[in-house]
Amino acid sequence: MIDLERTLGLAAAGIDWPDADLTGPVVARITTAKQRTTGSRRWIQVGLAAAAIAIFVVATPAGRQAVADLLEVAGIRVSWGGEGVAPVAELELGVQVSLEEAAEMASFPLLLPVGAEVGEADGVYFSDFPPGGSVHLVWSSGEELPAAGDTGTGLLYTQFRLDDGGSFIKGLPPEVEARAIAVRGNQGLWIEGAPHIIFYEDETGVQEERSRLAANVLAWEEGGVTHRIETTGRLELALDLADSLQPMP
Amino acid sequence: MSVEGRPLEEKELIADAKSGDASAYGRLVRLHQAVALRVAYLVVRDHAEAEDVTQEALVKAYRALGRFRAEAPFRPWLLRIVRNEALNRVRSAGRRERFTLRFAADSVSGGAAPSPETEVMSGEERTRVLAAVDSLPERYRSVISARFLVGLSEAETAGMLGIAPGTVKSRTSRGLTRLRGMLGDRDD
Repeated sequence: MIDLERTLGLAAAGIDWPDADLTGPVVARITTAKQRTTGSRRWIQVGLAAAAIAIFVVATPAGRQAVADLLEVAGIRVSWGGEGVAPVAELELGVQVSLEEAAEMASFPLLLPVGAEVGEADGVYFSDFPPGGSVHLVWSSGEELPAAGDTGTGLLYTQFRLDDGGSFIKGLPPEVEARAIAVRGNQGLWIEGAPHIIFYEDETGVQEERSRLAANVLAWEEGGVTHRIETTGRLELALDLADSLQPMP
Repeated sequence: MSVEGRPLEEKELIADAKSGDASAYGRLVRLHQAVALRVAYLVVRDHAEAEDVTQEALVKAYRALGRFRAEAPFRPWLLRIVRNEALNRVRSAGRRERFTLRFAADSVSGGAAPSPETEVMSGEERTRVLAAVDSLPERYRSVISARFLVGLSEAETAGMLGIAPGTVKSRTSRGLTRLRGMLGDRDD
């Protein structure tokens, strides 16, 4: 049997790696930037793959933002004024796996629905994104569960634990209603009324270019894990699913 | 490329850089830029772009230093920023295909003589091995590349990719098994 680790090491040693000294340029840039700093708040920039770069400027009343601040759930930040943001990505669920594989790949213990009104999920997916990984349970769309947002699914239940201090940011247009709600004894939030933009910003302020439109969302944090249920269905349906969740045996 | 024995000095440099000492940050850059360039290059596959991406990421990391937890290892944190920047660059360009890695022996301007290690492996064999790595599913490729091409430890790989160390271990094992199959080797 070949010594594969050694083989890979030999192959790596043969790669023509870049070896520039970036010290000077980096120090020059941060020194210049410090001199230019004005203290104004940099707002959120979402890149578009092709032509446009949309700047997301919140120009809504401060009172409304104060309400949004109260709605914060770990891993999810809410801001009003998502009208100027264009989605650049479709939902990415990662790879389809079995429940057992998802439990093994996730860095956190999974909750699973037991006896929920929506029945059993039609598929399980695992994704490396966001950092810490996410597990998605998917229910197909149908008469009772119209496709939600741009997910193409009837209902999507996602669990993730952010290990990098980042956040999903929700840009809510004015017609969206958002309110605090208790979910399984935890503070949660419910967003409904119109699709809203959602994208990810890591701890450094670097945005993943995965902004997309989301449907109604119920979200809460439990045991260090953020949970979100996305559907065009009513709140009661999402709460029924949330209440049915139990730790995976 | 070893991470063991990281000087205590690094913590002091981080503290100084956090308080605005640009030259302290410059010394941190010097400590980590080689591995940062490797991480960027494996994503963008172009020397000039890897240098540009790494420089951009290092500047962003400086701005984000205030959010870096002093007790956490610095290098995985820094490399995660570099990798994110590189991935964003590739996505922005709408690039689908993955360019081929350049080999030292193919480089006219490389200057350095081939090491004894590279002389052991033929160019054809290197191409075959790296093509096999490239054809792995992303969840295995990212781990195998970080561990064996960049030279990170399991813990550093976990920190950079934002996954649990146990996941790095299992993906490494599965990735190596797949590679072995692709390279025509069997366990039995």
